[in-house]
Amino acid sequence: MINISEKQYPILVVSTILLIMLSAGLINYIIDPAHLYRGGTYEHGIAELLHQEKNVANVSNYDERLLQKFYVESLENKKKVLVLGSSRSMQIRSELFKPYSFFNSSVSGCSEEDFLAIFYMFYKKGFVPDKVILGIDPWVFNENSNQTRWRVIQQYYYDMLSVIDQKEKIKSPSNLNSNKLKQLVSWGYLKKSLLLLLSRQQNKENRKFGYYPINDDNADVTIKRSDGSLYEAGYERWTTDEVNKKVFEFTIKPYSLQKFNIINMKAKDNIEKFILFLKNLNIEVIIFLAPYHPYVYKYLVQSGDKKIVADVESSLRILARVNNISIKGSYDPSKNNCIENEFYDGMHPQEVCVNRIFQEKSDNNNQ
Amino acid sequence: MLFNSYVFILFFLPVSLIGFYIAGKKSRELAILWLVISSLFFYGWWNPNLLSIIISSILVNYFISQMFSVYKKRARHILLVIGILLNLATLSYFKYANFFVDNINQFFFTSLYLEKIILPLAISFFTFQQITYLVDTYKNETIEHNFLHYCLFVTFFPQLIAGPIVHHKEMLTQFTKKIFYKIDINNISLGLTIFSIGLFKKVILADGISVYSIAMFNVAEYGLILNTSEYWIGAVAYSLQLYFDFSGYSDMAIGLGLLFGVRLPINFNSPYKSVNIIEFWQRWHITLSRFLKDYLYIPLGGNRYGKIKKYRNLMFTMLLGGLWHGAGWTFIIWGCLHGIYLVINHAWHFIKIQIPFKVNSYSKTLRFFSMFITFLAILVGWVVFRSENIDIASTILLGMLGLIDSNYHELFKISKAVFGIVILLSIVIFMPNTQQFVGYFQENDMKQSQNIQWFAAVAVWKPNLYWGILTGILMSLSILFLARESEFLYFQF
Repeated sequence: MINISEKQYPILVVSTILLIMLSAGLINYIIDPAHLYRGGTYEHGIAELLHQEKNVANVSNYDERLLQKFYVESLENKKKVLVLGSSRSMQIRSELFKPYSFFNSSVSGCSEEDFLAIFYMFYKKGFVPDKVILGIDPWVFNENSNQTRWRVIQQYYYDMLSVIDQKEKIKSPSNLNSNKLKQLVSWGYLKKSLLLLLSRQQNKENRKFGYYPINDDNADVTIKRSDGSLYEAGYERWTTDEVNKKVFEFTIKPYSLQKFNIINMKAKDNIEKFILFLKNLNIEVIIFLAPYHPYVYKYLVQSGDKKIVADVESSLRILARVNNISIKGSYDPSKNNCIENEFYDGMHPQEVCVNRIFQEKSDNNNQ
Repeated sequence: MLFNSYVFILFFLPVSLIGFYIAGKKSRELAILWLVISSLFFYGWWNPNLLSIIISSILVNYFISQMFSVYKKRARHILLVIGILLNLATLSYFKYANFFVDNINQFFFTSLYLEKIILPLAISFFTFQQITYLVDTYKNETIEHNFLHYCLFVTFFPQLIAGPIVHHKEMLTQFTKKIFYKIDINNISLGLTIFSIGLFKKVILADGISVYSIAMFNVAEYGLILNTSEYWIGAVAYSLQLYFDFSGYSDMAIGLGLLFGVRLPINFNSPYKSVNIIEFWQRWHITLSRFLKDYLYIPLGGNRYGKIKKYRNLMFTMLLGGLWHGAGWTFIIWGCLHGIYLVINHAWHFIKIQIPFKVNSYSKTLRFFSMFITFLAILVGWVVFRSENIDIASTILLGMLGLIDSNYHELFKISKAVFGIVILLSIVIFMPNTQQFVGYFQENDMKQSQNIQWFAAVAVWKPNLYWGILTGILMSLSILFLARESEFLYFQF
């Protein structure tokens, strides 16, 4: 074994670490499977295609908030109906609101900040819709939801807040985006980079690793539809057993509902002020409560320790009643007869369930 | 702040280390002051409001210890009692008040209300350390120390959060040594290596196997029933998670100590290689066992008043040891369970001497069987220890015995889980531990170093190219996996 001096040992250790970290960082930066370091080129391209009324197939690992930003930036006409919400609201499609122009601006893990920020994009542009559907999920009121993705569009959030509160503009705190830095030296990201590199080598012939326009609205790849709704190929392919497993996993790790013991009053206050603001703009507001899978709801709310989910719903119903706005749906799937096989997993209702909720004549505000 | 976090590895550690050695060049006291401030910063990172608790605890205990020299016999005794009571009262309030009120309400149908009290990090550790200092100062077993040294003894960040529970004798004497403030490349190299091994154990091994234990225990908490193999995998996975988590933390603490020129005591010594429960407690959380023995078991009478009283003392010590780990019935039962194990073990030793024929304790088969039985007993304890309540623990234990019907399968891929468990169990049973790998022994522990002479010739640590690259790889892999930050299990105690 090659001997080294005592002083050389720590230098060797640190050099090895630096070498490995730099290599990993470089691979992640160059391959960039989630398009973190490309300044939104990927999202820009999707937005362009959506403007051409085209469905976009094979979209993956993109920043949904940036997509909204680029989409609204080049929007030329207002949309009469706008949906704001999370992936649980992404099955709300334009067919439900024909003949009105429609766009579903839902983003995964939507938080209170996202509602305000994305609406502000439309407001700033002067394209205020006639109807806004707010898909409000329980975690919006969970201080420990770990939803920080809104930081990408945080200036819009602060601008909206200053408009609502009629105060001077708040400058958003500097956003170093530590997540991007972390991903550079993350094993998970490195694995994705290497897998992508491998798949690129294997698919050199047909180069189908990028997105492309498509006429169909379902296929064997994920499609971002021109109305903003999402067709998730993965969901469709899951067998009943796989769905059951996803449902079961949800009960083990309920998405963004961890450490949810009290309703975050700041978020509630901001949502309330936001709704009042929309009403003052003569916008019709509908609150959409996407149901949870029956099994999940039972274990979370009835037998589990997440009764607060039901409290959130009660609180939203009071808010709706006081402000005379309607509510569609309920976290409790039985209220709209959404049965087990009408779910993709523990928290995503299928289109059939969502359509039923919106097609019901009366709102269920008083349930 | 977690040892396994970017902010600790990339910011806090380099800054505190460089600052320490720069300050050391100016003066010793400045270096100690720097280290105390760094340690308080480390502690306050989690919740700055709780700094007031550790600081007032230090002030009060130091003040009382100084008063011993002013007063005479009876007053000194009263002071000691006040000091111990103050420490225990603080610990009881933060750790046990909610538990106490909940139980009053449950048993007496009252509706007393107490807001949820936030448990200050490490309170169990720094309280015990300061009690030892108080007691020994009362007994005139400490020499006079200055306030700054005392502060560092309590707050030294490598051992502050989850031990080892250091004794003033092994810490304070080191602060006065000249080499403490000087850069010792050998210590730095060894510290870096041990820290990397510990980080690898925590981030890759413990967190890696935890997916199975978390899944099983969470499902059980939701009241769902699994099949027998899933219960077993979850329970064994938790035993391994806890092992690598605590072992990893202990290694990191020792490694960090060495970076600052301080030798911390070994706290973890391959406990699953134990062939009986007595040995287990000599290998698991060694410094806690030492504290309980010296400051509870022996003052209670130890083994000096006959068998029955010895067993009573053992039971009581373990019961309090259980309660030290957390305010909950599961911890109390876990403590009692280990008390019973120890009583049985001691009784068996007594019976073994009485029986006319001799058992060959050195036979490999018997040792392996003993190790297996001991592990099973520990496993049962861990199920109780980890469970949210007694009902869940009972369900899991009954499930492991195949006494309840299952209605769900495939919580995880059994083959993958078993593969992971076999690999980790092999490491636990057949591999030398970190101190054997790197030759870090206590001065009086020659037995350990002799045990691995066969290994020493093959791969024991030396500052050479092979170990340098291996250490770099271990650390790099750990940093790559850091994105999934997770707390150390012993933080909650």
